[in-house]
Amino acid sequence: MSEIAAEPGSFRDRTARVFYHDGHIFRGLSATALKEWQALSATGLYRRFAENGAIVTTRQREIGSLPFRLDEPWAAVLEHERLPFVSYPYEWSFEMLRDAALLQLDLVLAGLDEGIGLKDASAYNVQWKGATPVFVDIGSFYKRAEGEPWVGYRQFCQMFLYPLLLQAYRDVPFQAWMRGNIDGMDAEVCLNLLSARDYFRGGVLAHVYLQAKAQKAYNSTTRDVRAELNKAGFDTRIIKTNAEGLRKLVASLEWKPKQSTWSDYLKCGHYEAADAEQKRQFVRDVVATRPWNMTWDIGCNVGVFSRIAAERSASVVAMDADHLAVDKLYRALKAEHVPNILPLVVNVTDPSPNLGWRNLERKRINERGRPDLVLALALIHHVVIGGNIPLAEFVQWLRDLGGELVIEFVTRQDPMVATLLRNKDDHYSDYTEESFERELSARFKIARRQPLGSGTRIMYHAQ
Amino acid sequence: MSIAFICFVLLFVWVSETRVDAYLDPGSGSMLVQLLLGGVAGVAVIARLGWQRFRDIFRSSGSKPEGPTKSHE
Repeated sequence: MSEIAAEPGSFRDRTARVFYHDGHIFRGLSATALKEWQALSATGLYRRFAENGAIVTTRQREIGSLPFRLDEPWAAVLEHERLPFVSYPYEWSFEMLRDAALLQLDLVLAGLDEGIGLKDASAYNVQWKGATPVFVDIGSFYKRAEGEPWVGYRQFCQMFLYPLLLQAYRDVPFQAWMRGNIDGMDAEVCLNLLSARDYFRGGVLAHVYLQAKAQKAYNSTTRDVRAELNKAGFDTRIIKTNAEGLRKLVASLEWKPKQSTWSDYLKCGHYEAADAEQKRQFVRDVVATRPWNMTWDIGCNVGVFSRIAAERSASVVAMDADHLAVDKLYRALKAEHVPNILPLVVNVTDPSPNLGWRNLERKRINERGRPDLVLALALIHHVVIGGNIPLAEFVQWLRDLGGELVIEFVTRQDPMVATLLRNKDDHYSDYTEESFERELSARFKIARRQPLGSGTRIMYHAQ
Repeated sequence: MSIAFICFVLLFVWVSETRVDAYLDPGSGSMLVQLLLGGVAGVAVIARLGWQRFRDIFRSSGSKPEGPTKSHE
C-alpha cells in the first residue's frame, strides 16, 4: 500500500485534515467532524451550493476500499474534486475578493435557516474554478448551537471586509497587506489607514471603529462573553441582520481606479495593433499543436492570448502584475462564463513566496502547478530592464517551470524598450537579440522563430 | 428605542468590563459589536446584558468575600 502526503497547511482544524494520494485530494474526519459532515450533507444548503458548483464536489469514501494506509485513525474519509490551480487572496483582484466575500456571506445566511454555522471565515477557504468562486473547506461547517454568536465575524472583517474597504475607499492595494499577514488585517490597522472623512462611509463606524475599540476594551477580559450572550438571549436574527447588512455593504463596494491607468492601457493596445494579428496567429499555431493540461500566460494584460490558449488548454492561469488589468479580465470572464481561465495578480519579478507556519502553509507559486505551456508575451523587457532581473536568470526560471514556451523578444529598437531605458543608466548589456537567442537555445530547442511586421519584435516557440 | 439609549447601554456594558492582565482575547469585543449590528434583536440583547451586569454589581457588593476558615489558621 502506498503512502499518503499530508497537506502541511491543513493543521488548524484538528478534526478534519487534508492529505493527498496519487493526485487525489482527501480529507480525514474525526468522529465529531463526521457527525458535522452528515448533518451538512443532509441539508438543502449543501445540495443547492454543491449543484451550482459553489461548494467543492465531495464524496465520502469507504475506508476499507482506499488504496492507502491512513496516518491517523480517522472515522471517515472524504474525497474532494481537484481544482486546477490553488490561489491565495493576495493574488486576487478586488472583484475576486468581493465575490469570494459574497459567497462566504451567502453560506452564513443560508446556514442560519438550517442550523448550520461556519467555524471560521478564512478567505483561504475559497478557491476558483475559472472565474467561479468555490468554497473548499467542508470542515468549516458545523451544527450551530442556539444562542451562539457568529464566530467567524471578526475573521470575515479581517480577511474580506477591511481589505475591500481600503481598496474601495483609499485605493490602498490589499494584496500586499494580505501577503504580509496570513490572518488578514486587524481592525486597528484598518482604522489607522482610514481618514476621518471615511468614518462617514458605509461600514466604517460600526465594523471598523467600534470593533477596534471593543476589541481593545475586551482584549483582557475575564468574562465568558459567549456564555453571557447566550444567557442574554443571543439569537439567529442578530446574525441574519448583520450578515445581510454586510452583504449589502460588500455588494455596493466599488474600486474606481484612476483614469490615467486606463488610458495607459488604451495606448498600449493601440501601439501593438500592427503586430497583433501576426502574434495571435503565432500563438494560435502553437496552441493548436496538441491539447494542453495547463497553460500559464505570464504578463497576460487583459487576456487576449489566455483566451486563445484556453481553446486547447484544460486550464489557463492568466497572471499580470497589474491589478487593474486582472480585475478587468476577471469581470469579462465572469460575464462570459469562461470556465477555464483563472486570472491572478502576480508580479513575476516578485512571485508569491512560501508563507505561514514553517513556511509551508501557503506555497510559492511554482509549487502549485506545472504548466506544460508558458506564454511570455511582451514581458521580457519589463522583467530584464524594468525589473533588473538578469536575462539568463529569467530564461532559466522559465525553463524550470517545465513546459514549452512561447516568448516574444522585444528588441532594443522597439519604442517600449526605449521608454523603459529613458532616465536609466543602460547597464543591460545582456539585453540583445544575440544574447537572448544564446540563452534560450542553451536551455530549450527553438522550434520556430518569426519576426513580427514592425521588425522590432520576434516570436519564438521553444521546447 | 433611541440610538442614544443603545449607546448608553453599550457604554455601560463596556465600562463595566473588568480588566486584568490576561491573554489577549480580541474575539469577545467582536462578539459584542455584532449586537449593535443585529437590529432590534441585538438591541434587546444589549439591554438584557446591561441589566445582567447592573444586577451583578449589586450582587457582588452585597455578598461578603469568603475568607479562609478558622480551622486553617
